[in-house]
Amino acid sequence: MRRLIEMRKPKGHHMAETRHTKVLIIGSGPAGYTAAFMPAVRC
Amino acid sequence: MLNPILVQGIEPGGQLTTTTEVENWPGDSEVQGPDLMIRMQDHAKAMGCEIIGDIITNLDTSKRPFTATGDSGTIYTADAVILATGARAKWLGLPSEEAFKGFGVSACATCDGFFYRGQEIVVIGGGNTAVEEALFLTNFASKVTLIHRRDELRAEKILQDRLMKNPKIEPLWFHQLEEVVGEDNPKGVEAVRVKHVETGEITEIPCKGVFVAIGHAPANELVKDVLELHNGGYVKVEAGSTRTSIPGIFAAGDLTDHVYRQAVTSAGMGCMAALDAEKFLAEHDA
Ligand SMILES: Cc1cc2nc3c(=O)[nH]c(=O)nc-3n(C[C@H](O)[C@H](O)[C@H](O)COP(=O)(O)OP(=O)(O)OC[C@H]3O[C@@H](n4cnc5c(N)ncnc54)[C@H](O)[C@@H]3O)c2cc1C
Repeated sequence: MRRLIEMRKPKGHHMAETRHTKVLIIGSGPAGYTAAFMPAVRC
Repeated sequence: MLNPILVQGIEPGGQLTTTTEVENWPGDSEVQGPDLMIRMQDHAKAMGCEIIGDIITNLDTSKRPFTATGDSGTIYTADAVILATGARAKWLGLPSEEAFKGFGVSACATCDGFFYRGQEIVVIGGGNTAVEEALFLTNFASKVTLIHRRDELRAEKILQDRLMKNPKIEPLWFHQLEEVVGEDNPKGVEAVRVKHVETGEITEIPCKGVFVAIGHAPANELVKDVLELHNGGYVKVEAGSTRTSIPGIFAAGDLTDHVYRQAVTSAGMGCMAALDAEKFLAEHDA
């Protein structure tokens, strides 16, 4: 189970980081993970 | 490359990490839920997806790029968003219910029904979910007792008729679950104690399985005020697609699906959402 948890972002950074992505997937169940490998597969 | 970023949320791997055997995942006659989700995560990573341990606390859909705020303070901007935040079964909140979850107490008849072949089980609830689950469970169980607080069901009439005609189902009116009773070694359910809501009298019903069927709640907090919803809060998508009421926002899995609620249907919708998002970006950002 531990392997499922990515390094958790620490709360309350002093400087808020901004990340841009073409596709943001929110959620890591079967729907989220399957969506995650499809864009990579087709590019 | 689309270089997707996936934010895991509070439950990395989702609902399947809370169960043991999954018997209806194609290609695996039996796989443990957490193992399956580790494999999916590894697959997503291997295909170049960046997976981040964060929780989205706010999503601004008013303009593109959309802006999501992470609990960590990170701001994510995105040209398209795929919502896959799932759903949660509603539980009664009893300590004994919690203690036997996965060991005889379940909220998913389709997932766990076949464990109770030839055994007696109880179903808690009186709406469509409860009646559908009770009917489905008669495929396996020798007897299904439907426990409901009132003396009439909220389920659709046609379902009620089917329930009443089924010789394996016995409704127990005016009762509520007080306690799940079981053994620790091996861990499993032996009975439930139910209370008559008017007299307070306690009755013990022997059973091996308890299905809590008081409904599901989609995890729609991020979008409930901005997206079109239906059927009690599920995100509405255009038929045959994952397009929501806001162009560029797609939804997949249990968040949109009050009917099937399975891993394989969720994964299928995840695939559809990725293809829909890709098409949207090609059309809008060319
Ligand atoms: C006990 C149990 C047993 C089951 N057994 C089976 C079975 O045998 N076979 C089967 O096909 N189905 C089974 N199911 C149903 C199956 O688990 C679900 O249909 C499936 O997991 C739904 O997938 P999903 O990706 O839509 O959402 P979920 O699996 O619910 O995942 C939702 C994800 O969204 C994330 N999230 C939520 N809010 C946020 C946020 N604000 N920010 C970031 N992330 C967020 C969560 O952390 C989670 O990772 C079972 C369910 C349960 C509860």
